[in-house]
Amino acid sequence: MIEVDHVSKSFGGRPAVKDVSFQVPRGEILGFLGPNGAGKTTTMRILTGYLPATSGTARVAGFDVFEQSMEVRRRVGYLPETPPLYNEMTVRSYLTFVARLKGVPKRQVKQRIDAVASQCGATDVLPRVIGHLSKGYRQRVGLCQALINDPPVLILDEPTVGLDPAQIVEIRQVIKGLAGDHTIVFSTHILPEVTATCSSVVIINYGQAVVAGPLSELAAGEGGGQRLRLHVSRDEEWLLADLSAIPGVSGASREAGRPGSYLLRVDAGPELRERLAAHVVTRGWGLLELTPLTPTLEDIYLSLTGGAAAAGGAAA
Amino acid sequence: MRNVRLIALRELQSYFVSPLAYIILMMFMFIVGWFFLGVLFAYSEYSMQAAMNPGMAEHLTVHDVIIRTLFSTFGVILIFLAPLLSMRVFADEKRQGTAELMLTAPVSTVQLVLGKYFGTLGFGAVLLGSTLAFPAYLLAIGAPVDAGPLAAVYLGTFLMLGAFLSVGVFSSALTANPVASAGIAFVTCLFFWVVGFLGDIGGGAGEYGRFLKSLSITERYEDFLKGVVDTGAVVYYLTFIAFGLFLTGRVIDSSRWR
Repeated sequence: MIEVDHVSKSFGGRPAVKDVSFQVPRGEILGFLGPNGAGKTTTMRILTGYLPATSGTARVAGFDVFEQSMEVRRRVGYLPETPPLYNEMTVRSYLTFVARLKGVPKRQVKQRIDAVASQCGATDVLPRVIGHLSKGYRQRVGLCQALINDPPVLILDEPTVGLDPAQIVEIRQVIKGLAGDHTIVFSTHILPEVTATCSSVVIINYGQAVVAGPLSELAAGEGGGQRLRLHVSRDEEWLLADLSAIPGVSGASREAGRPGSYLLRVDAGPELRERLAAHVVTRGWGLLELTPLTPTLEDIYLSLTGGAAAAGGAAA
Repeated sequence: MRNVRLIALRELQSYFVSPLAYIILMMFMFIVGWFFLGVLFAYSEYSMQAAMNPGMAEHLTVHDVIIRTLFSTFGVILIFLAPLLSMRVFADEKRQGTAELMLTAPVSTVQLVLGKYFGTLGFGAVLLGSTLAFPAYLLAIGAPVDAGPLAAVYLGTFLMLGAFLSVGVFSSALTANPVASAGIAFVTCLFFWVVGFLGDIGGGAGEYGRFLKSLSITERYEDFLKGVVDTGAVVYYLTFIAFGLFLTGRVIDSSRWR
């Protein structure tokens, strides 16, 4: 549904996005992740046709975002970083305007407004003047605006910014509920948000997509093999050699800062864990913990965006 | 066409909820009202003189003394007010972030520019329409107002205002700062006003002088004030407006490929 092919964008020689490629299949939710200033907004603006790419092509619903901009614009609902609201209008008159602008037939306008307003929890504020709304409600009205003509593709730039935790969960549910009929790209720098809602993820840093793929593959990958944490009541150096000798264990190290804790790299599945537990118990080392470590998105993110040193050590 | 109307109506509505528009309207009414009072008193004085001097009465028509004198000030007034009317048309969209909505909505640049322009022009028409109170007053007190020349004056004023506003809309597209936009519009309008004086230097003779004079916005307005509708002048204003809007469209589009 969305194909981004080697897209680059520079502003006056300063590159903002460098050679980014990814695909979003129909009905999927893609999380667009990266630190501030990584090029998320720029990429999204290219997808909506607001900015042209310096090189590369992007297609939405089979239409080139630059050559067939009008076709793309008809099919995309876009929530920019700052919700595009006219402060002097009431929410209802604003949504009416946007609905008409996006070609919603006159007779369906009222029905659509009521539908999206209840979907986004903005029904109460419909008669109010936008300029008087709080940040959270402005964000909701912005989301209403993007959904008003029920476009097949949604591009949401940090949709949950400015919302309180309860609202975040609510909006996440809305977004999740839209998947299936809609193809959604949304950007965020809140990691749990991606794990909670997305089926695949693109991590972008310094304008480059460092990782792109389904969430499940990313979690499984990371250096091949699996890692285990073994925690026993003995904290002695010679244990390492003993552990490494067990067939299936390809490496062992002591976990920094946690006496008695060892990190093992293993190539075998659950039956190894069974053997390992038996091994530890028969030697009487005092088994306290044996956990398989799957890297969280946070670990992947931090190690890829260079923040690994501090937080990544434990699990990576 | 539907989109143009939609955008124009929204634009027009936004004027009526902004205090700036009312301030401009009030300022305008006050200044024009003051002038009107002035020319009205002058007219009554002339009338009294003419009563003793029959030769003078011949040239003393309501149109020439009151309407024409009153509207001859409009060039100056509108050159100040038009940039204030149009300054936020595009600048505010950029500042509020709504430009991102307008430029990603299924609306072509032409529709956007025309919608914005007609919205502004609509408010300009309201502004101009408010001055109909003065001819109406003259009619009410029984002064013989000549409808034909009056219509020519209004047509001319409307076209001139339209030209100023097209400059204003263009300069608004250039910047996100309304004050800067008003400044650019004012200076540009001023240029098209004084360019006529430049032509006058050296007696307005020669090809060059005539060329400069023909560029002037206010020079063309003189004919309308006399009650003459010159097709050349109408074409001049319409071309001026079309060119201004064309440039606006180019500026908007350029933000897409920069």
